[in-house]
Amino acid sequence: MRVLGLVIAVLGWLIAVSSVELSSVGIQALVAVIGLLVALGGVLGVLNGAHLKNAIWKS
Amino acid sequence: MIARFNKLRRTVSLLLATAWLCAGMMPAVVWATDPPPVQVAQAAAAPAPAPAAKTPPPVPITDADLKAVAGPKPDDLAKGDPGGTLTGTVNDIVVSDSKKGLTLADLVNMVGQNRIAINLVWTLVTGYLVMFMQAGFAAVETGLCRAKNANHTMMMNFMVYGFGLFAYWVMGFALQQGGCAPNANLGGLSPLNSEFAVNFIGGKPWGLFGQRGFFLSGATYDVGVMVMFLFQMVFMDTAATIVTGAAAERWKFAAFAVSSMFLAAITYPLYGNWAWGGGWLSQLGANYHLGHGYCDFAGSGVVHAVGGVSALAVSMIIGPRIGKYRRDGKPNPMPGHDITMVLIGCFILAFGWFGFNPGSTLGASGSGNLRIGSIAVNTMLAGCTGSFASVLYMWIRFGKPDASMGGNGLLAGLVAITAPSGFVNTVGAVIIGFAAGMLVCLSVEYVERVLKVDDPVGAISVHGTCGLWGVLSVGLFADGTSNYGGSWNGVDGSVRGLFYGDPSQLVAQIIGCATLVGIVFTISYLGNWLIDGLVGQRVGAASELEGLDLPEMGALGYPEFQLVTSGLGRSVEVAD
Repeated sequence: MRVLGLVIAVLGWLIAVSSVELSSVGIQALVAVIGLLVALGGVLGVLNGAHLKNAIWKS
Repeated sequence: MIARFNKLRRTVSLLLATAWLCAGMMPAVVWATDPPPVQVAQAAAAPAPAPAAKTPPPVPITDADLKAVAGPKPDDLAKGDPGGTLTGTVNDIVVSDSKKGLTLADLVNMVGQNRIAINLVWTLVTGYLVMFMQAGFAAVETGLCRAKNANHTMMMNFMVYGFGLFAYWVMGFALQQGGCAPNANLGGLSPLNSEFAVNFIGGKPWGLFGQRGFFLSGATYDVGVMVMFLFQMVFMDTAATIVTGAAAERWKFAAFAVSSMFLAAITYPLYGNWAWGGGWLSQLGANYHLGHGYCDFAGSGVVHAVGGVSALAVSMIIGPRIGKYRRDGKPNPMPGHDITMVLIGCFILAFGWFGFNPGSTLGASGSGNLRIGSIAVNTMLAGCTGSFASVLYMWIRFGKPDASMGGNGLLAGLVAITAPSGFVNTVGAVIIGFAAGMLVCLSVEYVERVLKVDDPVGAISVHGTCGLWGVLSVGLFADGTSNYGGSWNGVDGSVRGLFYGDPSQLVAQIIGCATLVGIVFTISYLGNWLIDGLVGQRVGAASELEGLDLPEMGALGYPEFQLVTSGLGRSVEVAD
């Protein structure tokens, strides 16, 4: 799950940078925001969720 | 008579030319066309303009004219110069050939050297201010930790300077700035001229890292490069010390040492290169017409968000402190042991920030650098409104104006204004700082209660969250009035954000944020994961409960005091 979280984070970055050659600034902004949110989801959602599964305070 | 008139005219024109040249605003050839300064002042004060006198034809200055300028006599100088009117005259201009005497070439070279000297001194002095911020970080972090960990926390803040500096000298600086030339403010920095790049989207070159300046050897043994190194090094060290706060009270000192060197050698320099060293983020404007490319004036992203996301990575890996969370996942408060130390540290940091932001012009003379006053005021205002907002938030939400969050609000405002400080006006600075003060309070609660990531000092929120906000705010509030030599990141004109007519700038800033979260975090996480596997990141439970001062450092922070544990891991000081 940790690796998956990191992969999603990098995927989010790839989505964001893929916006650079789009024609409309509005669409560029939308795609870049989606990329940022995907990256955040990978780090704060998936990766952190993996850490919380074995959190020290649960034992 | 005519000869005397011409001589007088030449003398006046020479004085004017010298004044203009010293101000760095005059081309090499000077013409006598304006009246003397005294006449200008009188004309401005007069109620009605006098009829214009007939302007004499321009007369070029020659070396012979310079020889006619007499400096103060040795006898006069020997009497002292309490008024300062005899010091700094033609006598002080360096002459390249004593046989020829003073020439126009000497004069012009002196002007050029004065400009670079002003910029070198400015950059060095502001770098010294940033270096002193380490003391502020040390005080803030130690004060926010428990007394039983005081020595350990202080030592991490102390030694991150040495560990980070060494790694940055070996390779970090080269990776970051090895391809950053030219830089007109610091004399060109011509030796830093090699950037490794690959062709990526659209076949455009993406600069990834520099290749000159390892060990500061070879051609980089250069006066301008040395100043650049010092300034960039203290910035890197600021990023490195952010992590020590988030991982405090349970981080193994050996792991901290390796992790700090990893950040100084790899993580920070890579992003620093992409943003400041001529790398791909800075070229988003030139390559893809996204505003002026990623703009981060003094490092909300490069310094603070890099430190913040690295702090998040390390905090996730080492986990929360024993006792921080109950079995049901609710957090327990673990207040620090010295709020006075915290607030004094915040003041030291606010003082140092006057080096951080205005110093990032890398000069005070030429290329629009007189904007340093505006940058300093923006810095001041954003810190002020940040603390105001956070105190207001805490007061309304919890009934008391929380001191530690007041300090964090000040820092949040300062972190947020760091990227936009050179591009926004005072109204923008006030809004950015106020929003950061609110944001840091929300973020601290989110990190602690939702993410359940233990961050004893709030570093992830202050530097990570508000660093990202600062990056985005450039794309919103940059007002298009800055002019640093006519262009920024190779794109002509001033930086403008969404509210001032350029939405594409915001796109570049969002991509910068996505890079921080998606790439910089990943690099930091992988590096620290590896370190965890090799040496272990976390101390043993017994050491943590006892306090890290003795097990890790071999000496107590407060040996004259008896520390009594109170409640869940909290300790109070009792004087012997």
